[in-house]
Amino acid sequence: MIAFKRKKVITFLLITFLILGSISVQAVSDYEKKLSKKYLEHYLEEYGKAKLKPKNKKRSDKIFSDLASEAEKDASDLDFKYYVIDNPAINAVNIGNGYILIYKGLFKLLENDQQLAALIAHEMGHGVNNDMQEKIDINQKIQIGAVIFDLAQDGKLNKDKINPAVGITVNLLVKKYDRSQEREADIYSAHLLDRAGYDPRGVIGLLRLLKRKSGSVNLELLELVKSHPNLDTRINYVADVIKRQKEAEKLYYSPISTTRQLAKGLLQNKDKKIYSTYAEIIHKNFTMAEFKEKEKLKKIEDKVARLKEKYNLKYTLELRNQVEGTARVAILFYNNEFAPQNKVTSLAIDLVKGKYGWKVLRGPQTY
Amino acid sequence: MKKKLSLLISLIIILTIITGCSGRGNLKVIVHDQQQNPINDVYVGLYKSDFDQRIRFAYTHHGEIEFAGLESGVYWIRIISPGQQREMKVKIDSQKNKYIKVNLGTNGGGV
Repeated sequence: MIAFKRKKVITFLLITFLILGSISVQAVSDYEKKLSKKYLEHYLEEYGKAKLKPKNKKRSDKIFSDLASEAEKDASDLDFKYYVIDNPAINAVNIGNGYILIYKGLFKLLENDQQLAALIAHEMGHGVNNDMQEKIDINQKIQIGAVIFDLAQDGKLNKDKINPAVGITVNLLVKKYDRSQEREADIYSAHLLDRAGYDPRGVIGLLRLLKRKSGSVNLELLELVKSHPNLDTRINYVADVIKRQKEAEKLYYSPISTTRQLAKGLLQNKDKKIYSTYAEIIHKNFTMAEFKEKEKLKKIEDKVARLKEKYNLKYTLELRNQVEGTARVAILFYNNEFAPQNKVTSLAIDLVKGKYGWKVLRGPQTY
Repeated sequence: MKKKLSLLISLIIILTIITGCSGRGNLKVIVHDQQQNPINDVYVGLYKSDFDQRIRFAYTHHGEIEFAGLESGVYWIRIISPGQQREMKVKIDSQKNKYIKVNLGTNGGGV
């Protein structure tokens, strides 16, 4: 009877393990909410809120509110709040559910509003990217896996191991966000600042400040640098993101402007220009060399080249439809003049709005 | 002990197969006007229930779009052409092709 019960428990846990392994959770879970609340209570009880000058409180509230109203568009389920806690460490942390703790030591160290905005945007990035939930998921899988292992091994449960709440909380307190999560939060912060009307270069300013201070401030207090290594690497990739943002603002600010770049690339037979108009998802799937080998695109390029030899080729662009961050644009090629009887061919392009403006997702294909 | 281990392995294999093999089907949408002429450049978005999450989108080419390899289940589709919009629910069955013909010249749509 006991053996039968144990088998049932193992089966149930296996199913749970497989389900947890196959589901990716996107929204904030109740567990994350509870955990964040607990974490917040612990910190406020331990250190209390820092007393800020009314002037400083007012400006940080304004910055937070500007950024939160933009970030909410990306994660409406988060309850964005921030607290400056009375602790001299130079640190800031996202504790889940949109709650951000800024240590007074770091708050006092910041030199301007751009740096403060960058710090808040970075921590919001962890929230929007669901980083806390990812850690909870991993921890839950490990805990259930451990229970199955115990049961399968000797049929006995180690009671210390089956209290997931204890294990997860300890792990979350000990573990920092990993490097890829930090990188994603940095990149998100540059985009968020731009969208909210702040200078994205504030991220670089903040990282440079931390780098400078890492040489002069008591290292024990510099928690943020200890958990966020490679400041130089971070400065470099954030600078690259900002550069791409600025270029995108000029080149890809609308479906028409992006398609214009594509049309120019086709007419001038410049693969690099064509490739640059495509969405990140295409870049992830194809390198520039692989992209050049794409048969459909090759055919279109050859066709345009032949038409260019034969005719005095001109083109015009038409926005045919635009819905929910997507668009269909047509490139119409003419011989000599823009008259219906002179139309030589037309191409359809599908675009999506992404981090770097409007980019091509599909096409061109002949109408 | 051996029995337990083989039972455990069989369970893992069965459950992996069950969770891993969900059937897939295809959806084709054809959009035309009252004279049965295909309409180009019409947006067709495929969403999870109640339009809360878009899964895919396409614009019609020669009046058609195709979403291949969809997990079987119920979806919502939104069809938008300048000045016109249709929304409908569609069920995708495993290993089956579903065709939807939409007449944008009237207020109705046919499956």
